Amino acid sequence: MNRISIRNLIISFTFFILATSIILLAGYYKASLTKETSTFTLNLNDKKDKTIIYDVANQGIPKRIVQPGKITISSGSGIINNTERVVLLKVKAEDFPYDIDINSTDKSFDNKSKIFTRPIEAGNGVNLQLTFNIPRKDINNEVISSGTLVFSDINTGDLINELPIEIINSGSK
Amino acid sequence: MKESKKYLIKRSLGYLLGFALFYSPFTLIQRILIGIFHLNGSKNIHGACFRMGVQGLFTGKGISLLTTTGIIMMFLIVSAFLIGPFFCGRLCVAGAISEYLSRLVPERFQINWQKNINPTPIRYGILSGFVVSPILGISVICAYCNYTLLEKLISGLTTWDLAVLGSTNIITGFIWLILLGAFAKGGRGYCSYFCPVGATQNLLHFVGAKLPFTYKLKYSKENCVSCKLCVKDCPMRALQNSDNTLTYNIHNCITCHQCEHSCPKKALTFGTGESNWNKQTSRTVFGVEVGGDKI
Repeated sequence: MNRISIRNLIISFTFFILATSIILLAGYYKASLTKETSTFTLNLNDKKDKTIIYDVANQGIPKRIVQPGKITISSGSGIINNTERVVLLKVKAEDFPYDIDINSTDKSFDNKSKIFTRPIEAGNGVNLQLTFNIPRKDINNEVISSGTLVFSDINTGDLINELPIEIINSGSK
Repeated sequence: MKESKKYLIKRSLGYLLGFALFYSPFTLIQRILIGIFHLNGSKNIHGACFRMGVQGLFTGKGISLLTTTGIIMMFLIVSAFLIGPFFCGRLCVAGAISEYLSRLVPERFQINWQKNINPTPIRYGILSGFVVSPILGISVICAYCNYTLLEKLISGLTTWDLAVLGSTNIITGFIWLILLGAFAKGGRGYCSYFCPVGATQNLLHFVGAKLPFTYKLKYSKENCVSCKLCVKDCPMRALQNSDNTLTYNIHNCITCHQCEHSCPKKALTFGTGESNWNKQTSRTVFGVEVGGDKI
């Protein structure tokens, strides 16, 4: 091997190690951003007050620059029907000052009426994604948005559970 | 219309087919495999995820071949070995979008990244980091994935609303579409440096190309008139002209056949047998001679 080949090999190896390190660092960076998306689980029969708090200050710099007001809160593991009866679930967002898009990957979810048209058997669950569209001018408020997600049974009209949600900015001055 | 332009349009039809085959809302491949062959998998881009498959293989988690991911992974491995990175060159929409986007930006605003920074060690370094990361308890799979981001953007388009993007999506989008896309010569900087799917296929193509019965880019010095149109048109910048030497980097070639259609003298062709790149004048990349010839 001549001197140029050895030099090229050293340069290439350095780039190789550098690239490996960059991807590992990118992984650590991603791990530091777990609070950028908020997930929750809800047992329909548990009436404990478990407020979901999303703190905008936990967003990464790119998110804060490009899209700070577009926030998603989803039920990662699901909304579980731990009652002993079949429930025809309706979801309603109350008291939130901004528009919220409530959606689900469950095919039985009717986006217009916010009703799961397929009855949820006891022990089964569904999922929900809430998307908030908060205007950029309000993103620096201490409390940006707060309200409640109300779950009711269409069959009986009973209120099954409520889930308070707060979007705050702990970094606001 | 010039032959190269005609071929560029023809190639775009392949990418449209790739979109219908792999991406929501169509996902034809996943639907066929799930619906007709009753395989397990998701009916979205994750159901075709080669990256997840590669990571599963290297982390000992294994991969079940009778899933949508398993079948698609086998197709990519076999095709890359026999005919080169066919998926990248003919079907990958994510790569095509940045390439076609770059054609909208005047060349004077674009950087020839691949000429200035050799992509080979970087793309294999990224692949190595991608494989090692889960062993260290880190996952980079979907966070920096341009396929996932593309599907998100498409789903946003269908509702006329921008999808919810995380910081890692935004970084990926900036690198893929802007820095190494629109403002890169060829527009495929993300493919060259960051795509582990492409890197895996190129590794297989590099090994496969050594065999006589596999397809590879062949060079005929007798026909070459040094017009450098191939260098100009190569979206991956796998063909470069340095010090009057035409160099070909097989580790960065997606076998899109664009160079073949740009060459007015048929000096570049794809076929079996010897590649005919002169090893004496070739450029060394990552300690490996990659082929080249004086022009």
